[in-house]
Amino acid sequence: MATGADQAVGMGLVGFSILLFTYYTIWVIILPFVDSDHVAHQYFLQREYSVILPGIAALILLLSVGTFIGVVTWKNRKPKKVD
Amino acid sequence: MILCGYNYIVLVKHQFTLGIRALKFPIILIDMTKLLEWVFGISVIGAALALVTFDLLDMRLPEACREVARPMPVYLLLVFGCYSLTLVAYGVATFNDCEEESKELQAQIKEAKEDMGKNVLKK
Repeated sequence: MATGADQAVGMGLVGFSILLFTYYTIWVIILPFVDSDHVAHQYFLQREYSVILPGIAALILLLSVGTFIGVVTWKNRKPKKVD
Repeated sequence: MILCGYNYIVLVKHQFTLGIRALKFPIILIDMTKLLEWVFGISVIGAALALVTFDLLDMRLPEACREVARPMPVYLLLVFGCYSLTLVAYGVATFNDCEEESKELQAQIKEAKEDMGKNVLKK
């Protein structure tokens, strides 16, 4: 079994993604069928944000991946040999 | 699975063989591959989503159903992302570390280095 930090990080990520899935499922699928004066509605943002926020998150993810690749490529560039 | 066109019939073979009777239309046989299964499944889901989102059949569904169907592509993508994250994180957490084998390997590497050093000196 993996020890220490590996296990903590792994289980933390599992918990985070289960939480995210549950919150988003309730937001998108269950809330429209709940009466608008129910107390649960105050824990969730407006429905428009349920599309905008994942879009922004995906954009940030793509930017981070692209920046990382750019930085690593820039660091590993070798000067051309002069024959 | 049978798809009918205007002048042909496409039969997709499943695990059992079908008895083919003489028909007026020419019959084309295709193997049911995994790709075909996935394409079929995705197009069924996509068609159902499009039907509800754009109201193609004028079904006049309740407003709540249309509200659920609108963010569906984003929702499916997020579910897929969460699922893969869970699988990867669970693999990280339950990775088999093999402490003893690691120590044995380190000892063998040290031994090999010493052996190499000795050989060079002898020459």
